Formats: sequence, structure tokens, C-alpha cells
Amino acid sequence: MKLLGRSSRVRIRPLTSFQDLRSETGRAAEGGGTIHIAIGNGGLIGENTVTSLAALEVVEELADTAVLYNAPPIITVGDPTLLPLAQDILRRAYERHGLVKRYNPDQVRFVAPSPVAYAAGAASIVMTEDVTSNAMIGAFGPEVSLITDAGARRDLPQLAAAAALDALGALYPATDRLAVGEELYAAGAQMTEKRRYTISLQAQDILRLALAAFIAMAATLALLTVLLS
Amino acid sequence: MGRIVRQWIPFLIAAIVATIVLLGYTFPDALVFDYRGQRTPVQHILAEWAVIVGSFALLLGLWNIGRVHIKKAFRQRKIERRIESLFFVFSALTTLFLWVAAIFSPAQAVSKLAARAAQGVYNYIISPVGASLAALVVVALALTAFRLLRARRSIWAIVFGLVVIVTLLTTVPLAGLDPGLFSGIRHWLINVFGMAGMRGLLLGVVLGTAVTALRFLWPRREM
Repeated sequence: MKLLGRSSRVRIRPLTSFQDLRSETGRAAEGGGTIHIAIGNGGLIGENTVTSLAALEVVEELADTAVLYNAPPIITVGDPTLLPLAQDILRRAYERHGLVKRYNPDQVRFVAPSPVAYAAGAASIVMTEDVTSNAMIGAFGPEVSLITDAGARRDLPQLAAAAALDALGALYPATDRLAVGEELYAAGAQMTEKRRYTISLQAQDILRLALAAFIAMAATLALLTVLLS
Repeated sequence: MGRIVRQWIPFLIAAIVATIVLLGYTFPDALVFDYRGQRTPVQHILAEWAVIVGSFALLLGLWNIGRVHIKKAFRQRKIERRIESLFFVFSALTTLFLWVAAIFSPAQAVSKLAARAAQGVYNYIISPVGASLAALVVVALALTAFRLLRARRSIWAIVFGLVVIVTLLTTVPLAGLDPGLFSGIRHWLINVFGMAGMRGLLLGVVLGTAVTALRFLWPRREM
């Protein structure tokens, strides 16, 4: 994920899916449009909780830029527990800049609780509203291809990050700006380089190395046992 | 004071609840009584509380959908979008009316009729539309794969296309050809390459989930 340079500063491998979000927000503001961010069907009660929270981190890091450019994103959620969280993130960003009167809670939309209906509803928003970029970050299934298809029909730039394998299979052919698996959890570090994010990324790397070493050792031991017996 | 409320109280609530839930799984004997007066594992009661909060969130979500579509019905520039939103609001209100009538109507005949109509909405409109959308997902996936080969001519795009084609072809029983050979190729692709990639991804996701969860639990300084 990242390399330690000569200085002690952590260098993070660039992930275009997150790096381009800010520039896409600027482009949306220039063109009088907006970004659509689909957070997916994961909620706060279930196996996709952390994935959804990681997706909300992206919204949080993007919110200030969007407020400054006066181009708030349209955020669609497929689980109602994410709705108040996403609305709160956007409202806080407006509060930080003293523009709370401009805050519109309808920028965050609960579309439908079923995955396919959510994808169809989000696709309809991409097709019919002034969307200039389409980002899909969070918990999805293969139905995400309905959203990417809507984006492709309008020739929109598309960015995606997902952890589920069936969603990755659907997203890989749709966009080359795709954060795969664990890269989704590096969004905060990638977009802000704040210490709390980079430290957790380092912890993740150390754990991964330890796990890889353990697997390699176990495999070698198993091989040796077979060869020697 | 504000920092304590913002940083440490949420952390303490999350840490205490998480500890109770973990201990609940380690010592599964029921220790507390639920609202019916029956002994229940404590983690079940906490899960019930979470479901109640989730139900309120659903009500908020429904309010959000209704509000967005009512605004669209009056403010959209294009007339077809207005009609779409009006149709949505009308359908939602009709279904709500049917369910309310089915549950609260004092006349039994009206109640039965409304219940049958509401069930009919589910059986004859929502279910078939859901099935059609699921079929549409397959079409969208196929279209995306074709677009990939047209727009992104990299080596990985070609490998992706080849794997998809070989896997699909080896799934089909082809007359006159050795089925064992084809199922062998498919088995090798899915259970060796596919499984290895899948396990690698899942290990990364598990580590990312664990570290991200810890980061969320830990009190934040930048608010």
C-alpha cells in the first residue's frame, strides 16, 4: 500500500479512484453539475457496516471541497441507517464554512431497501439529473452494473471502490478507476494523508506481512511434512 | 467538556457494548430478562435495540423518498419527470392506504378486500418488476463486458474477456466434445486461479475491516 521513503513521511501508493474525486468535484462545479456518490446497500446493522463507514469517510473528506465549490454531491443510500449519517456529514461541512442556510438535506437520498431496486433508482438519478461524474463506493452486489451502465450511456467519468467479489466482477469492466478490496479502506489516507489514517494503513500493512509470513511458513511446513514422511 | 462528550462518551459506549456482546458469546448463559420476563442472552437484547433504531431510520428514509419526489413533482423542468414522481407518490399513498385499511378498518369485508388488494400489489406488480430488474442486471453485465473490449484494449482486458468466454463455453454441454476436458479447464480456472485470487482479496478485506473498525472505535481528535 505504501512505501517508507528516506524521510519518515509515509508515501501512499496513488489510487486514482479517490484522487480524482476532488478534481471531478471541481469539474462539476465549473460545469454547473454535480457528482453522484452511491454508497450502496450496506447499513449500520449487518456484515457491511465497516465497508459503509469507510464509504462515508470518503463523503466526509469530499464534503468540504464540495461546499467550497458550491457543488454538493447527490448521495444515494440503499439502507436507511446510512441516511442520517450522510446528511449529518454534509450538514457539518456547511456548518464549518458558515453556510448552513444553503444545506439541503435532499442531496442525500434513500432510494430503496432492496439491492436491485436501489441500483435501478440510483441509475435513474444518474440518467436524469445534472450529474457530471459517477462514483460508487461501498457495499454493492452485481446489480451495481445498472448504475455503471447508466453512467456509460451518458459517457460520464466513473470511479468505484468495492470490497465484495461479485461487485468487483461487475465494476472491473466498467471503469479503470477502481479501488479493489482492501484499497477501499485506504480512502481516508489517500484523500487527506491525516496521521490517524496513515497509522492505520501502516498497521494494516504490518498485519498483512505477518499473515503472509505465517501462511508461507505453514505451507513450507506442510510441504516438508509430506516430503519427509 | 465538549471534547469529552464528542470523543470519549461515544468511545466508552461503543467499547462497553462491544465488550458485553463479546462476553455474551463467550458465556452464552442468559443473564438478563427481556420485556416478556424471559431469560435472554444480553447480546440479543442489544441487537433488538439496534433493530428498533433501524426501524426509526426506515421511517426517516421513507419520509426522505416522499419529500424528494413531492419536490420533484412540482419543480422538475421536464414534464415526464414530473409525471414519474407524481406516479410514485400516488402509488406509495395508495399502497399505504390499502395497508391501513386492511389493518384498521372496522368492517371485516373492507379489511379483507384491502388486504387482498395490498397482497395483489406485491404479487402482481412489485415481484414481477423486481424479477425483470434482476434480468436487466444480466443484460447490463453483458453490455459492460462488450464495452470493456471496445474501450479498454489492455492485456488485462483481453485476459478478462478470455476467462469469461472460456468459463461460459466450458459450462455449456457441447455435443461431440469431451465433457471431462472442458469441465477440467473450468474447474482449474475457478478452483485454482479464481480461488487463489478470491482468498487473497478476502484476507486483505478482513485486515482492512479490522483496522478500520478499530480506527472508528478510537476517539477522534480532529472533529
